[in-house]
Amino acid sequence: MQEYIRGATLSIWLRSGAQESWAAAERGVPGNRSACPAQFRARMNQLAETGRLRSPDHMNHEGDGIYAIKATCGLRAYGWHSSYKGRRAFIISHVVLKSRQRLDPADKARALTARAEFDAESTRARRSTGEPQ
Amino acid sequence: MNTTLNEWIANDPERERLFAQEQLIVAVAEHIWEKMEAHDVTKADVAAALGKSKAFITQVLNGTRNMTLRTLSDIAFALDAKVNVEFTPRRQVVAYGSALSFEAFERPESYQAWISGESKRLNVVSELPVAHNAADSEDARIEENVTLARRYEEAA
Repeated sequence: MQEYIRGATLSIWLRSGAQESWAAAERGVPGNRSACPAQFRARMNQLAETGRLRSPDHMNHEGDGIYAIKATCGLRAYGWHSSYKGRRAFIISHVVLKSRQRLDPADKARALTARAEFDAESTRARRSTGEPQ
Repeated sequence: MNTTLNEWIANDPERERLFAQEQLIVAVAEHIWEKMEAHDVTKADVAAALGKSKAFITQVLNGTRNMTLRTLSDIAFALDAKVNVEFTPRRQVVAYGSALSFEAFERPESYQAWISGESKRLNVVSELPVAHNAADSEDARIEENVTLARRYEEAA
């Protein structure tokens, strides 16, 4: 896991594979290739600093605890709230470039799978250190 | 793609400028949303108060339409608030992990060496208090961080 942003309230972590999907998604961004990625990261930074994004245009709950951080060009980062290394965390499973507003069920399923893996890893880590379950 | 936000910004000055724009836009929009939630009003309510369409409010809140200062003031007025503007130094300090520090670029000797040091030192930094969006008054905190880090390393 890579800590991408460490804000005042929480850290944003990238799961394995998230960076690759992010890079691939940004290669498809049309027009000014810096403006939309900057907007995407500014929204993530706001989340890290304040702990939430109120506007559904910035962040949307896709159900089952899976959220999408959004940019107007169609970039979407799917993830969930958790805690990691003793801090509040938002963990990103993958990033896509969407052409439509509607959620692709495959993206939610991918995030849910990543969360299940993360939870299993966390449980194993707690067991190995003798922390309470 | 970069491994941290700060590396992404540091790789291109234009990115830093655009990021600053977007930071302001998202911060203003989130402040407005906070007030809307506090007053239990919708975008449609704000639009009606301003004599604008709901689409107009949506566009100014998500940054696809530039918000004039008059519009911002009118939105604040509709939400029984007013806007305060404050300029602060744009230098940032993020003293953790492998992240680069804009402050570090400007600071000579110890801090520069510190931040660019090997991973052991950076890991030590990661356990120290983190200064965010440093203003001049936070220089003392930076120095304190460095001093604490040195003591930590000496103790180790």
